[in-house]
Amino acid sequence: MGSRVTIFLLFVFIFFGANAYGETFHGKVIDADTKEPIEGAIVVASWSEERGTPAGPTSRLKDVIETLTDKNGEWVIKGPKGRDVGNVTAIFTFLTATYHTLPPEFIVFKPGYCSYPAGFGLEACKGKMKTYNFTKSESIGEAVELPKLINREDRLRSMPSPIHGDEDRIFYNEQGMFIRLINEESRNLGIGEYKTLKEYEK
Amino acid sequence: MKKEKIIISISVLIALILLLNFSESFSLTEGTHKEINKEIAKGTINGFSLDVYLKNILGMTAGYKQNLIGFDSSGRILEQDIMDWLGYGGIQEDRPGEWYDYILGKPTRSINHFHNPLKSSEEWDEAGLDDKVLGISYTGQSQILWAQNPNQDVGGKWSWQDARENFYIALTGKDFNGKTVAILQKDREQYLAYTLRSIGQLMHLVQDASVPEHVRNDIHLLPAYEAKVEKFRTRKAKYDFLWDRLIADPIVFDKSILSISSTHPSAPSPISRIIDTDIYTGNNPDITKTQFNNLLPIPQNVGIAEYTNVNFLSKDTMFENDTLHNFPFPRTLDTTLWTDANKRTYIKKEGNGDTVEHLAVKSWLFDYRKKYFPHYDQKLPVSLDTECYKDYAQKLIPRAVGYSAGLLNYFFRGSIEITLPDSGVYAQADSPDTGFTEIKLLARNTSDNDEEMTDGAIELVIGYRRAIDDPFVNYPEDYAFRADNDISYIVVPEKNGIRSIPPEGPVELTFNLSETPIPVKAINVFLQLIYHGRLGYEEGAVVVGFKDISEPTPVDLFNDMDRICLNGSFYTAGSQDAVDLVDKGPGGNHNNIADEWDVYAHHMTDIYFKFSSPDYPVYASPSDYDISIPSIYAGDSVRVKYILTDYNFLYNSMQSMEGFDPEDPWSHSSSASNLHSGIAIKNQMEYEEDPAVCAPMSAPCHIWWYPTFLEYRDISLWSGGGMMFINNAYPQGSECTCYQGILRTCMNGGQSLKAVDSMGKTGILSKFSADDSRKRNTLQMLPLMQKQRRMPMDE
Repeated sequence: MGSRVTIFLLFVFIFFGANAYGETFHGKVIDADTKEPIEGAIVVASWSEERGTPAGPTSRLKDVIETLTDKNGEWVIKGPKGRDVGNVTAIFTFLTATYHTLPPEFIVFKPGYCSYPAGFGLEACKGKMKTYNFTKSESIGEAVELPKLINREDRLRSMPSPIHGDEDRIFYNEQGMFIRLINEESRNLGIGEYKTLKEYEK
Repeated sequence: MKKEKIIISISVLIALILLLNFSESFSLTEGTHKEINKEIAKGTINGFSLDVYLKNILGMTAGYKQNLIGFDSSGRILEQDIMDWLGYGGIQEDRPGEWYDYILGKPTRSINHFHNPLKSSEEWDEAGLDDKVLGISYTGQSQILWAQNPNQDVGGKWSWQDARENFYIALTGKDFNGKTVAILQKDREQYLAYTLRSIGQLMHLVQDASVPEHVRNDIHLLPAYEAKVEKFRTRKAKYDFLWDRLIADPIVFDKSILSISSTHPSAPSPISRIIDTDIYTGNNPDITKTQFNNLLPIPQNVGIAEYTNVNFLSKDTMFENDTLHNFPFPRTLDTTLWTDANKRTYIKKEGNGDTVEHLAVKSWLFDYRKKYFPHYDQKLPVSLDTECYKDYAQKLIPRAVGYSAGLLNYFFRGSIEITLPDSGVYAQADSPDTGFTEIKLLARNTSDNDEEMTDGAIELVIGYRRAIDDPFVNYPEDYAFRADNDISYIVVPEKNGIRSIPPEGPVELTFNLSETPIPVKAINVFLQLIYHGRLGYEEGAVVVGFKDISEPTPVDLFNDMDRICLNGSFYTAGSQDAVDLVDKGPGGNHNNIADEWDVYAHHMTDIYFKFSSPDYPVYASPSDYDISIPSIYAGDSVRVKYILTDYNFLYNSMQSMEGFDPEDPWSHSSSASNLHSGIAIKNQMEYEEDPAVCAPMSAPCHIWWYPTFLEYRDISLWSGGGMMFINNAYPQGSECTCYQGILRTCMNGGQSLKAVDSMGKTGILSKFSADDSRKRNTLQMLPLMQKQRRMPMDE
């Protein structure tokens, strides 16, 4: 009996525990036109967690970490590596009512520039915005190049939104600098700020 | 022992599934729905732009970036822009749905996200999910019925009817039962947020109908097509930015499908046709074949569920013939095998609908099956891989975008044009104490596709901000005019019971405001005309027409004929100095009577004043007038009315001049003025993107438009809609410096009067015959350019 439980727990650990390991994500943000580093760009990593349901998996926000690029345009964020959900994970999470951490999604934002990833769809950013796969640790040293935007409509379309958590998870405290820059860009573009989020600005 | 068995069973089950599953599997999040909704909010699809609608019809200057504050599903305050509220709906339609809900068979929303298009509309009660997984049966309502179920029993009420009611509350503050539920501006904005969330949830349903599992009765615990699509979105670079291409060129439906009547009593709204037109019967798959014009897909004539069902497979419905998963198409007869450069063999579908190069991928068991069971073509050992899902997504995501954008368009499709009635004003107030007690306007149905508004309740919403300071006097440039921050609302029904708004010509509507008059000290006034009723084929539609009208504008008349401009200086009319100047000057006859030039004071009598629309100019007469004044004595002024009108309107007057000085030898008669271009007061903050308007500030900027009154002889007058009566200056060409230099030219040459209006145009206001010995003077008070005050963005 005991060995079976051990085998089962080992099985669970192999398939579901690995994604909980810490990972260091690095990157560099530079101006696509001048190739100069961009200081003060916000990089936000958000992790969602997911579980299976008979109508397809559902997810919720797990954590948010933000940082600013330094004078060299570089940033570092540490957090779970996460892993895509496969069939086994889907069934396991469904049967055990647990969630599985997914790889992080990143936002890179500097007012006046194409933002990652919202800017990809913009004509003004296409072809100029270069990036790498953020979720691979071997990306260290590579850069995301952000072109400048001069058209107001492009800046509106490129502007990201604060990340809103689910259920009782707010996470606004974890994105105070992000909220501050969004409000700054909102003022620049003549649209309303997030008034209820101003208290979280850092 | 029991626990041990459970653990072993679960382990074995997991292992089996792991071994038996051939296809790639990835995760699904609600992120796909959210992003599609947000992209739709930002763009223009099939001629509809939510951004333009929000700006032009709802008066929201920031468009889809307008922030609205509401509450999230946990009851916390949630401030998001409109785009994100639409996206939030995309997420929330799948919630709640806890694991134990599924295990215990409790209601969840997503269980109602399935629809079998092979069922006729009479059978839609049986068109929902009816499948099993892990031995547990799951049944749900067809997503078509769920979308129009006003009694949704889990996760809140977010049906089409609820979206309509939320919108109605956002506009009127009342629910469909007439109960007031939103009084303040913030309350109404909260319901607008819920409107967008409701629509976002309904768009989610349309998007789900582009997922093969959802239209082929295939419950899917394991990640499949949806999960792969999510990867296309979140790993853009890895998939060569496929996602951006997928959402860039939506495929839309032909709007004519929305005129197919619904025969199911629980799905009365034509939105059901976006998902299922009921044209596909199982025998006519070619109706789903994409039609092109110049290589571009034309609007499609089938529901999205029909297209998806006919042309694509899901994991558990790949050439199956069991009772739950038996769908006639795609069928093996229409397929061929081909091998790609990577030596993977795919099944290609050709004919009976669209061609799909990667319908499925052959597994290693496939050849053995064909060799030993050549006549058995069910349950083929095939699967779906990344190339299949790419192929699927290239056909299905553009439809998910285009069809759900069509639902958004359909919600906001109605439009009403509001114009001035022939009277030239919407409302008149005789006194500042009474305010405006009645509004008249012309309304025309300008909806697309000739959809008629034949039977509905018509209400008018008047929005304004109450001024704290007097809005009819001038203030220093740096003075911060005080007014309420919040908008006040008045909601009134149409007075005469009119219930239709025709498309061919406008109907005049009247609204009684006697119970809730508009105060004359109102600024930022706007009208929203609400129609709630039948629109085309839809019952219970809510349509809004918007008009930014003028602020209350005083009509001032001034009789300046108690003085006269002589040789560049003002004199008291009829004074000895004035008489001597013309009688004893060059050409004078020295008889002590000013019979050379009329320098005497005059009263104005029998004044008739008429406003009119620029489209229908009307002249004042004793039988057709808006204002009648028996007399205005020389030197007197009178504020005869306040009006609400368009910023540009027409007016003119008819009046008589009466001499009362016994020495006055001149005869006087009545005269009519030409039509004048009136300018009504604009007193509001506006968002402006035009650099020329914002200069020297950089665009965009906020402009506060405020009126500048003519301060004339210690009285503040509005010059955009009134009249000033003056004596002709002597000699011809003589000019007096007008008060504050605002009246740039009092008289200009001979018998003509000239003025420059705010548009920079020069016009003749009245002209006399050169040999007419009787001289009459009327001068419109010069309309003044409304000044703009530039406000910093953070104010």
